[in-house]
Amino acid sequence: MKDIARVKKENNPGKRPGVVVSALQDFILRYPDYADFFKKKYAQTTTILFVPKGMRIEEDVAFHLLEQKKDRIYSRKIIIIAEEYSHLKTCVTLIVETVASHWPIESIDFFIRTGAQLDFLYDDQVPLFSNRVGERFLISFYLESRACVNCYVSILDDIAIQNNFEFFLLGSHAKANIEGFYLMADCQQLQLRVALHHEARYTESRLAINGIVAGNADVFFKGAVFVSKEAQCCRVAQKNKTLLVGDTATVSSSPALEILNNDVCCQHGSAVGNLDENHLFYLQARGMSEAQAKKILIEGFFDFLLKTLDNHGLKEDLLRRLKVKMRQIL
Amino acid sequence: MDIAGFCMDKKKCDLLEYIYKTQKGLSSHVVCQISEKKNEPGWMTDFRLKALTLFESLPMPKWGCDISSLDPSDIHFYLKPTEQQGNSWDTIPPKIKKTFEKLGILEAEHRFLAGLATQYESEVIYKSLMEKWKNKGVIFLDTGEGLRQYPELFKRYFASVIPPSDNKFAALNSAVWSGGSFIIVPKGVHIDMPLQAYFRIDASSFGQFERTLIIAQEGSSIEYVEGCSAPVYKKNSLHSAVVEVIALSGSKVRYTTIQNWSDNIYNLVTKRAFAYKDAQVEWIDGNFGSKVTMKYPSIVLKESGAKAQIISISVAKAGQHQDAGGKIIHEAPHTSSNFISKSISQDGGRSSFRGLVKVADGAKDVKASMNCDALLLDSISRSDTYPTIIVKEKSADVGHEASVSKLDDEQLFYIQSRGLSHQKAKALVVNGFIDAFVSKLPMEYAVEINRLIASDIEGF
Repeated sequence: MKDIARVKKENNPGKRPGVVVSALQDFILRYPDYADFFKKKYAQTTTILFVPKGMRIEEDVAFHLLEQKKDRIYSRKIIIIAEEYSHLKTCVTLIVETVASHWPIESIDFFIRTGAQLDFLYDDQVPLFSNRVGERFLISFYLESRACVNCYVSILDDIAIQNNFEFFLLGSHAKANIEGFYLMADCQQLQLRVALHHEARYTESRLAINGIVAGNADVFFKGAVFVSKEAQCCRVAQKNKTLLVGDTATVSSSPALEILNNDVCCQHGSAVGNLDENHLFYLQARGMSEAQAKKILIEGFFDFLLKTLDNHGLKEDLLRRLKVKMRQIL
Repeated sequence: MDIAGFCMDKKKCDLLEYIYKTQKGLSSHVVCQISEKKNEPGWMTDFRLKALTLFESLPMPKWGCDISSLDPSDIHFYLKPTEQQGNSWDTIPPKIKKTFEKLGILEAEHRFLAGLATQYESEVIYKSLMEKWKNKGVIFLDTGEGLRQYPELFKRYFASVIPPSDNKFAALNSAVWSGGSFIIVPKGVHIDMPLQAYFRIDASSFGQFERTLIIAQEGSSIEYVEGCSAPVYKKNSLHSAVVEVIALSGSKVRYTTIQNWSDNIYNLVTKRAFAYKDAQVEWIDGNFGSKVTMKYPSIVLKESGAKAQIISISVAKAGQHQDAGGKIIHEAPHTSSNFISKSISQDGGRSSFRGLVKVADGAKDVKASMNCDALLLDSISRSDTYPTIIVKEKSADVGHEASVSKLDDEQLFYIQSRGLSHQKAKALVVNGFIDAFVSKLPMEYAVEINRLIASDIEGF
């Protein structure tokens, strides 16, 4: 794991002109226009990251939700605002290192204003603590017109928290692109819910989350797409493929669509299966052992997913952890 | 001429004087009255009363359609139209005969059916089976008659597929069931013509609760077709059937439903089949009418080599909510299933698809696919898709695909450029869309369905 504290220091966004990282009460003093909107919904102590109009932050801004000591937890909610035509790259890493009585974070809300772009990486590394079971973690994205979010979800070590993602495409031509993978083994449990609300015309969303489930793991994926009456001419594509290699593993996949107007193009697909026997035979006929053949096929399955990670600094670290995990599975 | 009988007559007909009816509402007294009227053995009365207790204790489903305006206290649970059941139309009261004649049922019987049962309100009033099949030992009775004539067999299979505790409306049906078909196809008998049942509700504020039990013995085959219709009334009626199918080793069952209830009917039906070794079960399910439909025909693949197919189509028009779909549960290895759903929403109708494919632990080498396509014909209609896949076996191969779209402008333009009107072009494209369903129907039915769809789309 790259030292997140160091990353924060190098790319300290707070040092850039106009960028604010503070508690909500301090932010409102500086930008009183936002007072009405935030006061209703958030506590004064909520942490906020504000990227001003036109600002481009191309290095990763890392939120390391580390729970080492109780007194290090500042707030249970985070707000991130990418102002008009700004560009922000950010990653959120969930790491829990000690057992604590309460969950460090409840939700993160992203407000992506007109024309802004957000590249977001979610890296879930929560190990097993029995008192975490059923905890709910919600990440919401509110997109104005022509805003765009590229979200990458990586779940390798999760045990039992509920990962919830919500995308509200509120302005026309808003775009959400969600990709990701999960690699579950042993007794891991994953709950992943992604909801996409198309509320405006010409909005577009694409979701492709695929994974490998081994050992005794249990995966529950729920994708929900809502298309409102106003969201004419929108496009939706959802895909969820799972490679099931565990003898006692369970996969449950439920990609739902709710569509209230007719000028749409919506598709979804979901597949659960094992490695293709013909592919295995082909490789084994060329002198490979079964284990080697399986490894190549599983690596192949993930390769196309990792391509999209190129822009993120954490790719190497993810790859390293992925390889360790893969060795466990094989 | 509507020979298949489901381009229905939605006009009110002359009301019949029923020879017996229970008072409105549901109570143990009503249940006992029904049981007594049918002269049933004690175990069946107990079964009904237990089911009534279950119905009262189970909660209303919180998902799916809005059925809050359904009021059981405003419904007659049993209406007996005639004293005798006939096997000749001459013995049927002329008013009822006229209704079925208008629906084309009589002509269909002559032309292409192996057997026919017609249920009017709570009772089967007419049933017939061709001599050829009688001689081969095929049993085709109404369910009450089945209980009287084959009590041992009946007790063994009845409620073995759908127990009253399955859901609230299965419990309701178990408490007040009346009519339906009881069919046993003996070993190795292939009935190569369809058997048809026709269900008609002419009364308002009435509940029809038929109970069908089909047992296909080893190596036999049967095709069963049911059609439903009712005239339009201001007050709501309820149709809550339970259908149990048992397909023993090597048998083949195709169960086709074409439901065209009028839009004051709540259609809440439970249907399930058990498929044993190498058996094949197909549900061909067409939902065109009713105010609200909640129907998810299921197939449980119990033994290896069994095959399942569900083809479901629903058309939701103004004021209708068609919540249809199905469930396929693979409990055994080397089983396969195919699930195709097509839905069309127009004039503000809402169609929902709810599908489940489940592969149990140990069910090796299962192949399953689920496809669901929806067509939205205007901007005020709605389409929902809720598929679920649960896999507990690594060798399973399960896929699901869905798409929702409007009519393709290019296709419409192509057809219109050949001289057809816009409405006709639309009807043609929609008929192409549901081809997977129509191609599974006997020819006479396919023609009728195409005509029904065309008249719905073209609006006359």
